[in-house]
Amino acid sequence: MKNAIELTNVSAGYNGEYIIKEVSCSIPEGTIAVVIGPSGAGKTSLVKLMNGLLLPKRGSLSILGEKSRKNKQLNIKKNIGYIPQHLGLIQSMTALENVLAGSLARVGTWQSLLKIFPGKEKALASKLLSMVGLQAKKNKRVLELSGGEKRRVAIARAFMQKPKILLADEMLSDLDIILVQQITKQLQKLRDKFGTTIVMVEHDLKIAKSIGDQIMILREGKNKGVFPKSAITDKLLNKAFAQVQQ
Amino acid sequence: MKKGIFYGIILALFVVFSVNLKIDPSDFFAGIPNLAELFADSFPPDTSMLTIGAIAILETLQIAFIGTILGTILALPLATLSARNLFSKRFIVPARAVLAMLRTLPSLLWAVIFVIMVGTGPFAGVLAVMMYTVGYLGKLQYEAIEGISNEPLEAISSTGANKLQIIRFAALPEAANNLLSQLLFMFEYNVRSSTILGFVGAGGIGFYLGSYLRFLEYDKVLMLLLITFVAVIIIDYLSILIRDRYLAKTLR
Ligand SMILES: Nc1ncnc2c1ncn2[C@@H]1O[C@H](COP(=O)(O)OP(=O)(O)O)[C@@H](O)[C@H]1O
Ligand SMILES: [Mg+2]
Repeated sequence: MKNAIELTNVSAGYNGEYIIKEVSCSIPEGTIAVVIGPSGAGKTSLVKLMNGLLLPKRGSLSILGEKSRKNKQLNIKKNIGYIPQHLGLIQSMTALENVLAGSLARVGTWQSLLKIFPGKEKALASKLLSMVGLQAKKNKRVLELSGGEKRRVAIARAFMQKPKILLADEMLSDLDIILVQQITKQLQKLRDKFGTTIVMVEHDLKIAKSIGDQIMILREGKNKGVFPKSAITDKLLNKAFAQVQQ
Repeated sequence: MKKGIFYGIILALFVVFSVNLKIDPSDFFAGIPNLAELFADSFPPDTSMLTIGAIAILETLQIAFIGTILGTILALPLATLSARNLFSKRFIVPARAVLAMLRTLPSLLWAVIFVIMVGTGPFAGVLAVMMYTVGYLGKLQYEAIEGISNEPLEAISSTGANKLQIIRFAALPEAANNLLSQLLFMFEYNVRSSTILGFVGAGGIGFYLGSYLRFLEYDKVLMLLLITFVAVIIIDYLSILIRDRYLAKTLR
């Protein structure tokens, strides 16, 4: 199976300080990888490496077949959906407009500057908002939505990109259990139907285990072990995680 | 210790710089009767100036309004190019240099230049207000854009959007409240500074203020000052209303 994402001894960070230290990992196309680790471990930074928001200082990485080395920007963003940990929604725009932003790379620049989107993009955006249970609130401005509702808008925006890779940074936080089940089901559908590769950062071990094809444990910027689904047992995970949490 | 040196320097400069300014409190107090005379001369204000004054202050407000709007439209692209979270040094350095240059002259000196260029009248005033607005408001605008949080910028750029789209869908809407409130501030400021543009022939009520001051017709001057005072208060009040009604609501 081809790898959608491949990191080889990648180090990266901010202001000359390394946060990610010699991380290697490979994520095959059409699989779901879950990254777990204590806060401050560098999970968000690792995800940003995978869509070019953070550039590697050492080592090399290959995303969707494009290779990058030191400080080289790849032209891959449009194929990678990203749900930032803090969402990055535009507060003064409506839920629908925020979701439509996911199609910006597909629509003409001048129309988009006037917020004119093709009918089929608008239809898709509405459909995605229904999928996350927000059809009734699609014309509400984001600043009027609750925390969980905002998160769902960001999820819909990432889906709107029709991404080959989906990067989700703690996207299931502050969602109730029914929504978590619904959204994980959608993720699995995305993988099975379109072969989307998914990288999730999660805190909840149970969710990680139920959805991940592989689980990677990150601690202090280092890869502390990758567990394939077949190898994952509760005991093993609990032990690894307990060790990491100290 | 460092603080002590700082205050020491300020004090030394204060002493040195005040020497040749002929600062003399006795002159100040001896001059108070002059002031009383001036007041006596200017009372009662000459109400025959009401119509002329009203028309002239309206022209001043027009100059301020049109100049502010034109200035804002020109400032925004330069401010965007000046924002570190949007562009690289290659764009920032020249864009900021233009803004800084426009800021070096106050609008009154711009007015002198434009009166020479396009002749006396309100058009020179509009150009003067516009120039100063670009320089001053442009700086406020790029600071507002740099003040927005990084996440929306990252999120929109992650969709593969191009630079113009990132500006339209992240930078401007996130900075919109500040941009609008600065626009109001700039307009208020320009109303005040436009009242004197007429001193150098650039239109508005300043023309009459300057003329009657030279002719020592203080009762007319007082009437014009009262009109200016009322107009400025009305503008400030409207501005507060707009702030309360439209800006407070959209605050996060
Ligand atoms: N933009 C940034 N500038 C400087 N330091 C950062 C930045 N982003 C993250 N860091 C630092 O990198 C470390 C890892 O952060 P992060 O990747 O967000 O970890 P996690 O997502 O696992 O909590 C933290 O110590 C954080 O302070
Ligand atoms: Mg994080």
